[in-house]
Formats: sequence, C-alpha cells, structure tokens
Amino acid sequence: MIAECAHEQDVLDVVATRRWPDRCSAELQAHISECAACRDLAGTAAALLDEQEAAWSEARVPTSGVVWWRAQARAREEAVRAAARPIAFVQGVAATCAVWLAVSLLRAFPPAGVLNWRGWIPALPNAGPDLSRLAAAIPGGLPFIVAAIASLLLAPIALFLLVRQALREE
Amino acid sequence: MRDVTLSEVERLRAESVERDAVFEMDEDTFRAFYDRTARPLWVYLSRITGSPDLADDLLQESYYRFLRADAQHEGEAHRRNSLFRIATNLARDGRRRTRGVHLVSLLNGDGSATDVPARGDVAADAERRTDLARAMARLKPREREMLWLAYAQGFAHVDIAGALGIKSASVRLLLFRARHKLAALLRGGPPAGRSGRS
Repeated sequence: MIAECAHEQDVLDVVATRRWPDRCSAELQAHISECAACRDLAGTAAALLDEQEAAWSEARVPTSGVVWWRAQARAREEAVRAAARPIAFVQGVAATCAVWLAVSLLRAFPPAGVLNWRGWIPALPNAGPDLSRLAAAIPGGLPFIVAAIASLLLAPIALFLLVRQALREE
Repeated sequence: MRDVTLSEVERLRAESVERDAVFEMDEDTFRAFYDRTARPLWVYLSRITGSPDLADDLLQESYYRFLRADAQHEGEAHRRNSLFRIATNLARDGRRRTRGVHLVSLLNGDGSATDVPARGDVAADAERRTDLARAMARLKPREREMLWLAYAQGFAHVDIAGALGIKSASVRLLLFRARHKLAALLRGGPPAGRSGRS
C-alpha cells in the first residue's frame, strides 16, 4: 500500500532545483523531517541527482556523424549478407545436384577400370614418376622438386585467401 | 514460373542492398536526436549495467537497432522512450548472458570515485557515491532502471512505462517500493519488504 503525501511534488521540485536541504522553506523542511515518504523521496532523489551530475562528466559518447556512418555501413553489410543467402542456397542445391548426377552417371555407365578399387591400390606406388631419377635429371635436384610441389599445393589456398579477403573488403 | 537470369539476380541484390541501407530517419534528424539523447543514454546504461565499457557498446547497438526498427513515432518523447526501451532490453539481455557479473559500480577499479566534480568535501562525495553504488547494486534491475529514470533523468511516469515496457498504472506503486527500498539501504538498514509502508 502506498502512503501518499500531497507534498511529494513540492519535495521533488526543491530537490531538482537544488534548493534542498539548505534553501527550501522552513515549512517544507519541517514537513520532510516528519513525513517518512517525503524523507525517502528527498534522500533518494537527491542522491540519484548528484550521481547523475557526476556521471554526466564521465560520459564518453562518439559523435553523431560517426554513429550514423557506422550504422549505415553495418546496415549495408547486413543487406549484402541477406541478399547473398538465397544465392548461396541455390548454389548449394546446384552443387548437390551436380554431384548426385555425376555419381548416378558413374554408376550407370562405369568406365572400365575406374571402379576396380582393389586393382588400383596396389598399383598406386608405381603410378607416380620415379623421383630419384627425376631429381638426378633436374639441376636443382630434390629440393627444387619439393619446392615446386609445395607451390602447386599452396597456390590454390593462397588464392582462396586472397579472394576471400578482397570480397570482404568490397 | 519465369526464369530469372543471373543479371536479374544481381540487379535484385543491388536493389535490396540499396533499399536496406537507407533508414527511415534522415541523417540530420538522427544527428539532432542523437545529440540530445546520447549522453543521458550513456549515463543510464553505465549506471544500470555498472560498466562504462558495456555502456559504450550498448549505446552504439541501441542507436543501430533504433534506426533499423524504422518505427513511426508520435513525438520526441515517444521517440526517446523507444530508444530507452531498446537500450533497457539490450542491457537486460546482456545481464542474462553474464548473470552475477555486473554490479552497479560508480567507482574506478582502485576504489576511487570517477571524476567527481570538486564540490564541497571530495571525500564525503566519494563516500556518498560508494554508498549509493552499494545500495543500487542490491536493488533489482528493474528497480534500478526505474529509480534512475524517475529521479536522475526526470522521466514522467508515462515515459518510464514506455521506456521499461510496463503498465503506466503500475509505475507509481513500483516506484514507491523501489524508493522505499533504496532509502532503507542508504540509511544502512535492511532493504524494505514488498509491503513496505512509510
């Protein structure tokens, strides 16, 4: 239950105008000392108002131009992402269909030898070039071959990272 | 169904980007509104979350969501209340994620008060602020929000209701209870119960 007091607005006014406790009327001061509701109101309102004044100087807000610009940039970014979502979905479906079609075709018309896995595996060690002979024939030798293979493997990854970075910057 | 070519998809995408990047509010209106509300909002957020750093983040996020909402407002007060409501909800969400971490701290890490203006006794000011910080930390989040809006920011009851998403008729009673509780805490006594009577 609220113990209302008719003087609450007067108390708020003197606190808000910084006339409490020293510069308010003796009558109101006497009332505040007797009325618990008004005493609570004056005490809490004055404490919070003091804190608000102190906090005001601490406030560190960016300029309105910066906030507007950031909001615009973020909205654009989100719009691009939202627009790209259905396209990525369609691309995913298309890729899945392509893989499914390729597998179906392979199963329907298996090329001779392609699906003979057991025959493939033992032949794998002899399938590649003879590295020792290749190293002897090339001026750089084995290190050159290793560097060339590493470049071939890493180039697509580097290209992927560069393209991704460029797309992000866009 | 008509086939959509790749160029049409690109055009639709570009149109979508253009449409979504434009807010309902124009830049000049926003900047004027921001200049009027940013500082009070930051102070409110820093006091209800207890973290100036969190207030920095929430301030940006609040304005962004406010712009994205593209809501129609009946006037300046309605617009401000919407902004404070968004900010309050963001602070509540943050509190749910980091429950128990944030306290209302009005002091620096070393225990000193932050930039207290040189008015009267500095030590007494710092002590008062510490007492208030401790008392506020013991209140419920909604009580803190309500008391701050009512007495620090001077919001009317109807504006408090709009900013906090509660019924206007409930504000008076809730505010009375919160005030009674804070006053008891500031006096150093136990917090007043729900049926606290003056």
